[in-house]
Amino acid sequence: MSALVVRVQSEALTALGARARAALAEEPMADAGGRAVKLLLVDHFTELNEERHRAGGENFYADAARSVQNPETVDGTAMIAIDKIGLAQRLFGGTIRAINGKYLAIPVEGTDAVGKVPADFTNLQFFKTKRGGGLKLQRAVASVVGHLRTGKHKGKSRNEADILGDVVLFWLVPSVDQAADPTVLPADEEMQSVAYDAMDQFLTRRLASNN
Amino acid sequence: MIAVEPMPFAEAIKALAEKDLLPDFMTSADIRALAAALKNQSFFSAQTTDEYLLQLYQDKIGGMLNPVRVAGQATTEYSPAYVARAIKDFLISVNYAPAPEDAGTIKDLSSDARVSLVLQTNKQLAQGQGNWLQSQRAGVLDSFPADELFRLEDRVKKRDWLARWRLAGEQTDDPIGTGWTITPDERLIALKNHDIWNWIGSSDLFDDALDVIWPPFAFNSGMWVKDVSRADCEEVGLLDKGEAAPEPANIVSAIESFSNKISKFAEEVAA
Repeated sequence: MSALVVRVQSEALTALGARARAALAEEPMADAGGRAVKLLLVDHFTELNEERHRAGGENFYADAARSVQNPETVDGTAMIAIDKIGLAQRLFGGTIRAINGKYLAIPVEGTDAVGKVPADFTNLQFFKTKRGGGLKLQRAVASVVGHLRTGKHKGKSRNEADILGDVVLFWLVPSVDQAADPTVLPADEEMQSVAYDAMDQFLTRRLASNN
Repeated sequence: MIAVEPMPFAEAIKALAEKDLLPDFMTSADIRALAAALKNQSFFSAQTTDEYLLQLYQDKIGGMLNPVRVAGQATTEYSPAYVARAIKDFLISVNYAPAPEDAGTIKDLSSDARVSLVLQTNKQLAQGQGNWLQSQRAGVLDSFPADELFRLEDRVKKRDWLARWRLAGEQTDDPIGTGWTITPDERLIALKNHDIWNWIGSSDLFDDALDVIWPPFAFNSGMWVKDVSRADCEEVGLLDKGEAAPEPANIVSAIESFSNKISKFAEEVAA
């Protein structure tokens, strides 16, 4: 049995095909979806910064928001980089070990050590603990600069705290285990949903403008 | 899928790398006299004349933007606290001492406030410029034709950005609602590349402005911009349904246009 093949080709149909391919091109569509996810990430980090920023800290999540890059689109896949040191550590968790010295210096919450390093202080005194040690300001110095807020002095007035003792600014530990925190990023479903909506809107608009 | 691999913010790093070091012996008032085009190409810190210090700042900020991670090595040296310490250590090594009356103030090159301001401002300017460059693509402008100016970082003393936005908008030829707007819930939105972006960071209007067309617009502002979708633009009346998106802008002509605008403004004020 011989088949009958009808070949239909004209310049107009070729042009129509080109328009269809342009409208359905994967790359701009993935770009639109990726950019929507970028916006979601910026909003998410803005909220986290409001919730988690500590006085004296570096506005970590605000910097993460500024570090969200434009999506790179390759083969219909949009990839978004967030170039912020420490973000992956928070997301996945894991052990951080001291490499450059014996201990990691962990600033004590609520003190002026937040956002600083031990070398920023000139009168720190080392003391040993079970896990490693601590660095404290001596009472006389602390009185002058007024940094007295240790756990046991909570609720006391500054003057009372001054009289009561020294203030610990850093805990020194050989390593810390950080738990994974999936809330550092929006939920996968949420990212997929905004990407889908943006791509859907993009496609609808493209098809409408191609009429 | 979430991958962990180095992917530097190339536009931000390039923006920082292309800045010439500009030893700056001028006061803030003198700086205003510089053409914005020059300033956009210059990394500066008011009254810092030591080129080595400026180079150190630039290197450190480059490292913060693009930390080169070696397996088994820590990234500690790129954390803001350690970068600040490195700057202070350099100042100690060259026996820097502030004038007694300036010690601890923003004029003291070794003060926490000064070091932090220079680091943050220049890093954020590089990020802002990088973000601006990444936005100048037809596809992005089509799907997200506008930007919203919003508060990213809280401040104890907040400047009145709503009033600034209104004042900047009044300098354009467009009445509110045309190209730029303030929504009933006080969102500050304008089409990308609209003239208002030439004014919101202009020292012609605001003494603390950085003379740039991207955030942070002013020293220690805490402000940033984010995309606004086409649907939102249509809803707030900045675009009609199906209306063409803003055209991509070229950075050289955008900065030239900005410079010309503030020069013209200066002439008008002087006349």
